[in-house]
This record gives sequence, structure tokens and C-alpha cells, in this order.
Amino acid sequence: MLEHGVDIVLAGSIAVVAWRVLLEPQLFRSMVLFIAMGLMLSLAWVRLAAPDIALAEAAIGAGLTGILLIRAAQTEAAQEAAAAAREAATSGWRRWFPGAGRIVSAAAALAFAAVLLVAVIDLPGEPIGLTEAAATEMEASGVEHPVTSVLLNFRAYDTWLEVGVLLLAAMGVLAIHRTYNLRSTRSEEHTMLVLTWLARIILPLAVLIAGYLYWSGTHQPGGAFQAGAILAAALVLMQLAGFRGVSGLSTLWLGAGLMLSFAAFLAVGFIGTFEGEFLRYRHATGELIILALELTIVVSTAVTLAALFAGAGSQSGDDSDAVRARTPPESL
Amino acid sequence: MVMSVFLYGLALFLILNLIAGLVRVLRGPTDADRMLAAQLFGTTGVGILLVLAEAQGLAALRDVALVFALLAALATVAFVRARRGPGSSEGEAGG
Repeated sequence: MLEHGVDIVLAGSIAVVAWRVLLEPQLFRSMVLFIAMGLMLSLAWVRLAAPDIALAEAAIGAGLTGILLIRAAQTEAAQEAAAAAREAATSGWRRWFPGAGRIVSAAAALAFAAVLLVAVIDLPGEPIGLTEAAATEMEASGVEHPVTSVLLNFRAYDTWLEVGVLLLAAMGVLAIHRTYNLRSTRSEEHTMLVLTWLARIILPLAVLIAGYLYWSGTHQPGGAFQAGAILAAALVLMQLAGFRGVSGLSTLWLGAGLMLSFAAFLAVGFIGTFEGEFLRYRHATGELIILALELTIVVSTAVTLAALFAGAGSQSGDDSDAVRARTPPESL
Repeated sequence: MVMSVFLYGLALFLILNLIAGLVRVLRGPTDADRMLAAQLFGTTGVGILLVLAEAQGLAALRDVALVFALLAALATVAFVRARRGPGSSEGEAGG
């Protein structure tokens, strides 16, 4: 009875908060609401008995998303864009049709929701898909936790491409900077004693917990992406506390960190072709291969997400940046 | 049975607390108040997760709580840093 009360209140408040996030005119308020929504979504995954996703949402939503949003909103570009949007909303034809854009997007979203609803109603009552096949093949995957065996073995191809998406995002940041590393990004010049102290406490704990999640991924909820996100948060904290985090890396090390996982999947994939299939490793060494691949995911995820943050904090467009952009990359 | 009702009741109470916190986010009055409300969401979230871990019998939820506890402070740190960044009176000149 009370369980349903928890679910109903949670689902209702997620919908209301999402609505407020979209309609809130003030950027900062909307951001804080978005952080709160991340927490609520994590709780929703918990109620759906999906602790793996709750863990990912906690690691990324609670830590990095909030930081990235706050950082991005502080850049002059973001503030100019917000001002321009306000200007555009009150001038020209929009002045005569206030909320016209919202009505159009709301109509599109409702139409999409209706299609989804029809699809859900259409679903056959009995479970279909590969759940059973995956469960019987678990033995052969090399790990005991079903989520990990699917992500890193049965559907390794998908995971490889996801790693590729992260790599592309980091390449986008570097391309916007027109540089090969993030050394030119703004570093904190004032050191704050409290932050230095906090960093010294949190950094070792973050490494410990990331290691724990990485290792536990083989037999219980946990895993490489979550561990990487926690390490990324630690790197970002370093940067905020005035240490050189990921922006202290040279071109070679940054590139190696970003590409490590993608390259490792590729290498394992090609080794698999000798056994007849790309990315196939269903034998005794499965666990070792999975652990090695996950370790590369931890490193690459941490470096990539931290690079996204370092990039968001930069001041693009001023003269000194343009000068730096023309300087050739340092020798490897 | 009694235990389950107690735990889910507790979780519900904590979620209602979260919703009360949302009012503070909307009202402010200053951005620092909003940020502190978000910080307290993290703490309440840890509480809810620990209660649900017991109620649903899912030990893994304690790991989720651990991650929240570890990372909850970071958004506030970014907020404090951003206040001292460009645009403030003591902001540094360029990168």
C-alpha cells in the first residue's frame, strides 16, 4: 500500500519538476531543479529494481552534470545566448504569438507520447526478447553479473560504439578549442584552503570507491562507466581546487587516455576474428578480457568526462586564445 | 509486515521532504539558498536510498548511497568557484 504511495509521489513529482525545468525562465533555478530531478530519477530506477542504472545516474547526475551545467552557464557565451533568447522572445512576430514555440513543441511531444503509448499497449503480455537466451549463456560469458555479461560480452559491439561516442564528444571539445590538448584552458588562480582540504579528503576516497565499483561489476551492480564517472568527478574537483587535473596532460597523454578504450575494443575485436567472429570471446579467458576492457573504459571515461569539463570552463573568443590556437602542437 | 510499512512510510516522508526542498529552490531568495537546497537533496537522497535498501532487500542500493554521499558536495564546489570566476569583482583578467 505505502509502496504504491512512494511510487505515485515520486512519479508525480518527477513530472512536475521536469515541467518546471523546461519552463523556468531563470537559468540558475532551472539548473538546480535539473540536479534535483537527477536525484529523483535515480530513486525511480531504484523503485524499478534497476540498481545499475541508479548507480550510473548517481555518478553522472549527482556529480558531473551539475558541475558541467553550472560551469557552462557561467561562460559569457551562455549568458549572451540567454539574453538573446529573451530578446527574441519579446520581439518580431513572436511578440504577437507568445508561447507559439512552446505550443508547437508541446504538440510534437504529446504526439510522440501518444505513439509510445500505443506501442506499449501493443506489446504482447508475455516477455519476449533474449532474456532467456542470455541467462542460459551467462556461464560462458566469464562474469557472474548479468548486466556486465551483456554489456561487455554479448553486446560488446554496442559498448564499443558508446565508447566511440564519448571519444567523439571529447574530440568536439578539442576541435572547438582548436588545440590538441587542454593546457590553454583557464585554471583556477586563487587557491581556496577549504577546497584544497576537501580535495585531499575526497580524492583518495574517490579512487577507492571507483576501484570498488570496477571490481564489483563482475558479480554485482557496479561497473566501469560508473567508476570512470567517479574518477572524472575527482579530476574535476582537482581542477576546481587549483591543481592541474586533466588540463595538465600533454598531447600524448591526453590522446592516449581518450583513445585507450576505443583502441582496446578494436584490438580485442580483431583478436576475436581469429576465432571466427569480431569481438567474440566466449571461453575461459572471458573474465580476464572483460576486466581488462573495463579497466580501459574506466580510464577513458574519466579522462573524457573531465576533458568535457575543462573545455567548458575556457574563455573562447578572446585574443590570447586565438594566438594559442595558431601555435603548433608541441612535439610528442 | 509492520517493518515494511514503517520503512516505506519513512521513505515516503523523506520524499515529501525533498518536495518541500523544491519550494526553497523556487523561492530562493538568493542563488546560494537554492544551491544549499540542492545540497540537502543529496543528504536526503542518501537517507531514502538506505531506507529503500532495507525495504526492497537490495544491498546494491547502499553503493548508490555511497556514490551520492561522495559526490554531493561537488556541485556546490563548482557553484562557489563560479562565483569567484569571471564577472565577479575579484575575477582574474582572462586565461
